[in-house]
Amino acid sequence: MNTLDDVSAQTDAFNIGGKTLDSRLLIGTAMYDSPSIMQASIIESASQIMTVSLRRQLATNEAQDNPVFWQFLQDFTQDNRFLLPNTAGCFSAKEAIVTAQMARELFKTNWVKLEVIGDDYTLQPDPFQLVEAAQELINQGFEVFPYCTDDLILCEKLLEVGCNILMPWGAPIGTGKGLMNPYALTLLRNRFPHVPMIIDAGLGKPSHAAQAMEMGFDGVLLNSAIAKAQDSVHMAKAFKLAVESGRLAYKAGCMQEQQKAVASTPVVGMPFWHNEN
Amino acid sequence: MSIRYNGELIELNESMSLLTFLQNQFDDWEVTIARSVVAVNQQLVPRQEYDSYCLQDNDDIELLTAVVGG
Repeated sequence: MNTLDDVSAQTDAFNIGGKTLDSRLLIGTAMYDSPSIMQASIIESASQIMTVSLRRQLATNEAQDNPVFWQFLQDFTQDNRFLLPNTAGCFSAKEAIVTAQMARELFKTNWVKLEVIGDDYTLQPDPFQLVEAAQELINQGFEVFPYCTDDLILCEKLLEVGCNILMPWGAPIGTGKGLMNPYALTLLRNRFPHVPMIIDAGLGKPSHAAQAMEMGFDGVLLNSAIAKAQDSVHMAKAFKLAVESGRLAYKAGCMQEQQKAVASTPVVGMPFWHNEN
Repeated sequence: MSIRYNGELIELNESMSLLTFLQNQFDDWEVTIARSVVAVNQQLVPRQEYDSYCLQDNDDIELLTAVVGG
């Protein structure tokens, strides 16, 4: 007989970017205390999608840690696991397009986490440049994972130009504030029920991830919350469990909130003293 | 002629291909090239074109590699 876990795994696969995955936790590779902690955390998270980036190649004698990271990328991409290159640091559509092209050449994937930043302080995406870049990259055959805000119209435009996935922020990158605008996120989820939607950025605690999953989002992408935890490896496990828990709760169907208290203990058969006036 | 390589101004005494230039930069150039990607003047140069790409005066070369990212 199948257990509940078996049934859940069979009926709740995560389809994203043409791949079918088990894990709904996407993880970043930056800001860990050491490469070994980064690797252990990612393994513990059981994530099957890992974000990477591009920066200038250093001179030979300075690039000592690159071979280690490169080898980890090669190892990670075995066994149904995938890289998601980002365009972090790009402030224009043109920069983002070139960076995405370079990432495709290097990482041999047409996936790109498209970031076009419009503001230094909040790292808020520039919606106009983002849509422009997304349209061009889709025309060039990319599968665009757009890092966007929770703005309904922006998300509509991204879908109109051909995005198959949306990645609205929970809060600005690295703030750890959690879901700052549940109203807007709920609206997005309800308006586009069949679009794979991943909450990207701003999560700080496993409960934030569970909340996003309970709301029906298809996954979460995070980095700082694990990398900057006091114990990244255990925090990776905590987020893994939170994502699974939130997803299971969503599938199970949470009860409706209400204003009036409702007794959970049956009122029929109450002892006589409650009937005395 | 002068070119810019990862932000640094470099004088070249003779014309050369992009491949030759990269070979001159790294002792282990084959490994480095395999783990890197190049844009010249903000345009991707596919790896198979490094040999045929002849550097021009004022070319701006960016050699990028994989790094951690969120």
